Amino acid sequence: MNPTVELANVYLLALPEIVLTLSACLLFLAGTFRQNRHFWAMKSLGILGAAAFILALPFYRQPVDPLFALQAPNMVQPIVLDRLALLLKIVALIGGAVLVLFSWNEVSDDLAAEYHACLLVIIAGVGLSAMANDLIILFLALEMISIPTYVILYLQKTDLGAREAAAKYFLLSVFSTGLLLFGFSYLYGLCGTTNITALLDGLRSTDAGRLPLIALVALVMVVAGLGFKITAVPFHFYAPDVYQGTSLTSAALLAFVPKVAGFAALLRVLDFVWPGNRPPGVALGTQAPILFWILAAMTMTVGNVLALLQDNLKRILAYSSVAHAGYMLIGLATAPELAHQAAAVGGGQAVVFYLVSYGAMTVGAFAVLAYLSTPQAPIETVDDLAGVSRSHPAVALMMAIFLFSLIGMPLTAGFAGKFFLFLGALEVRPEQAVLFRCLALIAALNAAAGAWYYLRIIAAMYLRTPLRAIDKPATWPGLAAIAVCAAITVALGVYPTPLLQAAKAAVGQ
Amino acid sequence: MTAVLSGFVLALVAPGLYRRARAGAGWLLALLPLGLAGYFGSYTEAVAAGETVRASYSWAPALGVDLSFCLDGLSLLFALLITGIGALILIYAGGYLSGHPQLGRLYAFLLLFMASMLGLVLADNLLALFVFWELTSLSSYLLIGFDHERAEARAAALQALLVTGGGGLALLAGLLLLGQAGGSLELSVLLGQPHDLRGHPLYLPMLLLVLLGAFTKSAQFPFHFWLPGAMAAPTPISAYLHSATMVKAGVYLLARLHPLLGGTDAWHALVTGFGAATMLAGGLLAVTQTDLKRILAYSTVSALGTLVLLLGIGTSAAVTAALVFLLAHALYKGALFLVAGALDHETGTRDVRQLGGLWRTMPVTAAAAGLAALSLAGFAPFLSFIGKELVFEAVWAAPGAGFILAPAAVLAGALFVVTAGLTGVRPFWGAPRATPRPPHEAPLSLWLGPVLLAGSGLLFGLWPALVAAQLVSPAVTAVVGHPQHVLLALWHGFNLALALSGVSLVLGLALYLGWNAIRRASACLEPLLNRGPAMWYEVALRGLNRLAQGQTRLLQSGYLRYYLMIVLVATAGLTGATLVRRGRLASPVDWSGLSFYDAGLALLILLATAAAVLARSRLAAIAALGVVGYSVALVFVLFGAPDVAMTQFLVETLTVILFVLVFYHLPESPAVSHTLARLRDALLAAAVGVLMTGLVLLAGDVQYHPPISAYFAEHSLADAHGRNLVNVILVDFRGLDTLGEITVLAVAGVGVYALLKLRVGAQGHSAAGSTEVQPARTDAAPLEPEPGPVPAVNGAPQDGGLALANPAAEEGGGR
Repeated sequence: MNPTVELANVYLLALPEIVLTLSACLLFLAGTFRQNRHFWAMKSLGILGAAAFILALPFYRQPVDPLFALQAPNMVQPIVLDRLALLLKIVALIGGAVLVLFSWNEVSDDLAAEYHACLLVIIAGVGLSAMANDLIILFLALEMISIPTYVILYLQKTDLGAREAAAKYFLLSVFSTGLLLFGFSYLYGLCGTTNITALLDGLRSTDAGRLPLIALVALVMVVAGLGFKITAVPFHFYAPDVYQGTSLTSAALLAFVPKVAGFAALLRVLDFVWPGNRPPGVALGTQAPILFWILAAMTMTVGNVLALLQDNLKRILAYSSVAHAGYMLIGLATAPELAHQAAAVGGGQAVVFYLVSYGAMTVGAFAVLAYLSTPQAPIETVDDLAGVSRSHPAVALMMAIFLFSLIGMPLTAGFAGKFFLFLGALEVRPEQAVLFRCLALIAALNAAAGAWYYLRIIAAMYLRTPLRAIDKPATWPGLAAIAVCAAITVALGVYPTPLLQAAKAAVGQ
Repeated sequence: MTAVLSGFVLALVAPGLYRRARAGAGWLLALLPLGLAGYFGSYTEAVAAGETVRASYSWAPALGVDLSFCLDGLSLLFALLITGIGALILIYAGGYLSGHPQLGRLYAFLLLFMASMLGLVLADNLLALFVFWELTSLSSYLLIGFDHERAEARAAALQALLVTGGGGLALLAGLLLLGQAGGSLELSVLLGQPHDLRGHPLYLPMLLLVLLGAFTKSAQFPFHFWLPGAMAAPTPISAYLHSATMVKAGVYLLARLHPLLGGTDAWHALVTGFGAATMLAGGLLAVTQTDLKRILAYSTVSALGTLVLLLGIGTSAAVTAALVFLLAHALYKGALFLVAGALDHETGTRDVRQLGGLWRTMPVTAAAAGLAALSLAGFAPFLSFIGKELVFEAVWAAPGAGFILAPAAVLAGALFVVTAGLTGVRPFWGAPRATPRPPHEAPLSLWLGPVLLAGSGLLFGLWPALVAAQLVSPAVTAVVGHPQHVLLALWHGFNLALALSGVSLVLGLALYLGWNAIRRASACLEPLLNRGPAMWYEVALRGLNRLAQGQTRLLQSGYLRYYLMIVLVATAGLTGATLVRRGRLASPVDWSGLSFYDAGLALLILLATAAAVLARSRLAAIAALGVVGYSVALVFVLFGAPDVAMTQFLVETLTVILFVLVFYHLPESPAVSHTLARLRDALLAAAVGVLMTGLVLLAGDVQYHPPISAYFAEHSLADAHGRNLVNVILVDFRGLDTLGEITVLAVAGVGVYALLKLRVGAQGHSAAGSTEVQPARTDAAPLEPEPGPVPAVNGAPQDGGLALANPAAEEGGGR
C-alpha cells in the first residue's frame, strides 16, 4: 500500500469540502474590504454551487472506486465516499444553500462575510463528518461544525440573552465533546486503531460477538457525547434556552446541522451494534436497542410534554426539535433488530429519510418566522402570528404545510417519515415485538400530544384576527428559502420513493 | 381518482371564484358534486351487476403502498350520498351565510372535506384510507372552528379534532396490524384471500384499535360528547359533516371490515354493546335538550348507535336494515338540520321553547320539516318506515340477545318520535311566539335542500324498488361478502315488527306529550350528567397541562448547573447501570506493585482535592487544583510517559494562570451554599468519582495490543536517529503534538495579553463556568436575579478557558 497514493485519493474525495473551507478562509480575509450582505451571500451561494458541481463530477458518481476495494479489508482510508456519505453531502449542500438564502437579509452588512464563511465551514464539516471513517477525522469534522457555530452564536446578536445562549451552548457542547472523546479513547484503547472500519471488524470478530464491558462503556459515552448534538434527552437542555436567546437563523442552524452530523456519526460509529453477519441477539445486539429504546421514549415524551405549555415560538420549535430527535432514535433502536429480517424499511433508512424531512420542515418554519420578523417587531410568541393568513396568505399556507408536516399529517414529509419509523417498530421480530410495539404506542401518543401545540399555531394563523399589522417588505431570498423547504416537504410526502430508495442504498438495510 | 382530485383542486380555487361570482358561487360550485353524483350514478348498473371499478397509482411501491381506489356497492352508496347532499349543502351555505366575509373559505373547506370523504370511501388501500380519514378530521376541525371569534367554537373544534384524531392514530395502529397479519394493505387483496384473520393471535388488539378509531369518529358512547360540541359549526356544516357523512365514516369502516373482522364473539359483544349503549344514551340525552341543533345532534348519536348495533349483529338482515336506515337517516336528518338552520336564520333563535306557529309565515319550510319529522318518527309511507321495520326485525332475530335488544330498539324508536315532534312539529304548530327577529319565509337556497331531501325520503318510501336493486343490494353484498338480493317493500304484513313499530309510536307520542315533565325530571340528573365523559376529557387535558407545567419547572430551570447536573447523573447512571449489570464495578485490584512514590502522590492528590473543596477563597482552591494536576503529571512521569506528562504540565500551568486572571476580575466569592445543596453536590461528585474510578480500573484490565513504549524503544534509533527516547518522542514521533501544544500556548498567551490590556471594569455575577469546574462549591442560586446566569461582560471567553480544562483533565485521567 502506497501511502502517497492513498493520501492523494483522500484529498480528491474531500475536494468539495476543501473548496468550501479554502473559500471560507478567503471570505474571512476579504470580509474586511467589502461589507455588503448581498455580495457575500451571492458569493457563498456561488461557492456552494461550485462544491455541488464538483460533487456532480463523474468521479463521484461511482462511490465505490475499485482502487479502494483492492486494499486490505480492514484498513480503509480515513475518508470514505460511500452512498451514505454522498447522500448526506448532497443534503448538506442543499441545506447550506437554503440557510444562505434564509439568512441573506438577517445578517448585517458588516458581519455578512464572517457569517457566511462560518456557514461554509460548517457545511464542509457536515460533509466531512458524513465521510469520516476514522475517529480522529470524525472528531475534527464535528469540531469543524461546533467551533464556527460558537462564533455565529456570538456574532449575530449581542444582547444579554444571546450571550447567555452562546455561553450555555459553548459550555455544554465542550462538556459533551469531552464525553465523546472519552468514549473514543476507550474504543482506541480496546482495538488499538482509530480507523472505524478496522475498529468495527475488530469488535465484530471478538468471540461470539460477546464484546467486553469496556466496549459497552464506550458505547454509552459516545452516545452521551453525540446525544448533545442530536438533542436527545437528557442532553437537550440547552436547546430551548439557546434557541430562544439567539437569532432565528442560528436557531435553524442549530436545529438542523448538528442533527445531521450527529446521526451520521451515530450510524457510522455504532455500526458495530447492528451486526453485519452475526446471528441475532448477541451481546450488543440486545443492549444497544434497549439503550436507544429508553432514549427514544424519554426524548419524545419530554420534548412533547414540555412544548405543550410554551408560548414562545422558538421554544416550541426547540422542544419540537427534541421530540423529533426522539422519533428518529426509534430508527436507531429498531435498526439492529430489523437488520435480521426482511423489513420493508430498515431503521437506519428511516432515520436518514426522517433527517431530510425534518430538516426541510424545521428550517422552513424558522425561515417563515424570520421572514415575518423585523428587528423592531420580532415574531416571538404564538400571538404574534395571529391572523397572518390574511396579511400573508402564501407564507401562512407554507407555514401551515410545515406545521402539518411536523404533526405528521398525511401527504407531507413528516407523515411519510413517521410512518416509516413506526412501521419499523411494528415489524420487529416476534421475540422483541411487545417491547417495540410499546415504543410505537408511546410514539403514537406523543404524536397526538404534539399535534396540540402545532395546531395552536395554525389556529392562531388562520382562525384569529391580527393583533398587530405585520408589514415587512417582501424579500426574495427569504421567500425562496421557504419555498424550497415547502417544495421538499410536500414532494417527500407525496412521492417518498426516490429518497427512500436512496436511503436504503446508503444505509444498506 | 379524478373525482377525488377534482374536489381538492376546486377547494383551492373556491375562494377566488367566490370573489368573482359572489352570490352565485354556491350554485356554481354545486355543479361539481352534482356532476360527480352523475358520474358515480353512471356506474350503478355495472356495480349492481357485481362489478368493482378499480384505479391504482403507485406511491411507495417498496412498501406496497399504492394510491388505489375501488368502487363497489358500499362505496357507491356513500359516494352518492356525499356528492348528492354535498351539492345541496353548497347551495344552502351560500344562502345561509350570504354576505359573510369568509364565505369563500367556507366553500374551500367544504370542498376539501368532500374530496377527503370521497377518498375515504373509495380508497382500496388501508393507508390511503387512513390518510383520507385524518383529512376529514382535519377539515372538520377547520369547519367547526369557522366561527373563530367565539372561544366556544375554537374549544369545540379542538375537542373534536383531539378525539377523532386520537382515535385515528389508534386506527392507524390497528390497520397496520391488520395489514401485517393479512400480508397486504390492499383491501381487495385482504377481502379476497382465503385465510382467516379472526384466528390470528393479534386479532383482539387489532379489533380493539380499529373499533377505537371507528367509535371516536362515529361518536359512540363514551366518545359521543364531541358531537354536540361540534354543533358550534355553522348549520350547513353540522348537517353535512356531523349528521350525513363524516360521522358515518366509522360506520363505513365497520361495514367495510366486517367480512374481515366481524362475526366473532368479541365483535358481537363489543360492537353490539357499545352500539346499544350509544343508541339509548343518545336518545335520552336528545329529549332533555332545548336547543334545536343539540336535540338533533344527540338524536344523530342515537342513530349512529343503532347503525353500529346492527353491524354488531352482523346477520344479512341486520346489514340490510343498517344500510336502509343509513340512507333514510341521511335524508331526513340532513333535512331537519337544514330546517333548524333556516329557523335560526329567519327567527334568530334555536330554542324550541321560543318557537311556535311558524307555519303561517314559513309554509314551505314547515312542509319540508313536517315531511322530515314524519320520516324521523318512522311513519309510513317513508323510507325510514321500511328501515325501522327492518331494524326491529333484525334486532329481534339477533342471535342470543334479541329479547334484550328489541325493547331497547323500541325505546330508542319512541325517543325518535319525541325528537321528531320537538324539531319538526313544535316550532311550526301551536300558538305563535315572540322571536328575536320577525319571522319570514326562507329564500329558495334555504328551502331547496330540505324539500329535496325530505321529498326523496317520501319518494323512496313509496317506490322502494328505486333503491333496492341498484343501491342497497350491491352494498349489502359488499358488506356481507356474498351476493345478496334485497327486496324492499312498504308493507310487510301484520308481523312482530309492525307491532313493535306501533308500540314505539304510541310510546313516543306519550313521551312527547309529557316532554316538559321529562325535562324537569332530567334536571335532577344534572350532576350525574356533568360527570360524563366530557368531564374526563377536561380532566385529562388539564392533567396534561399540569404535567407539562411540573416538568417544565423541574427540568427546564434555566440554570446551567442543573442542566450539567442532570447530564452527569444520566451519564453516570447509564454507564453505572451497565457496569453493575455485568457485576464489574468492583474488580479486585493488585496492590503488589505499589511503590512509595505512588502512594505518596496518591496521598498528595487526595489532600489537594480535599483542600480544593474546602477552600474558602477561590485562589486557594485554584492552587489546590494545580497541585492535583501536577501530581497527576508526576504519575505520568513515574509510569514512563514523559510526553504526556509534558503536555499535562503545560496545560496545568496554563489553566492555573487563566483561572487566576479570570478570578482576579470576578467579585468576591459568594456565600457558601447551604448544607443541603452541598450534600447533594457531594453525592453527585462522589457518584461521578466512583464511576470514573471504576472505568479506569476497567481500562487497566484490557490489554489488546502491545504497549507503545516498546515501539518507541525499538524505532527510536532506527527511524529517528536519536538516542534520547524522550527527545525523539517530543520532536519526532509526536512532533505534531508538540507543535500543537506550542500553538495553544501562544494563542493562550495572546489571549492573556488581550485580557490584561482590556481590563474592563464592569464586574458581573459569578461566572457560569465555575459551576462546571467545581460542582461541589458553587450554588449561587439565591443571588441570581433571574433564571439563567449571565456571564460577566468579559467573562465568556474566559469561561472557555475554564471549561476546556475539564475535558482535558478527564481525558488525561482516562488514558
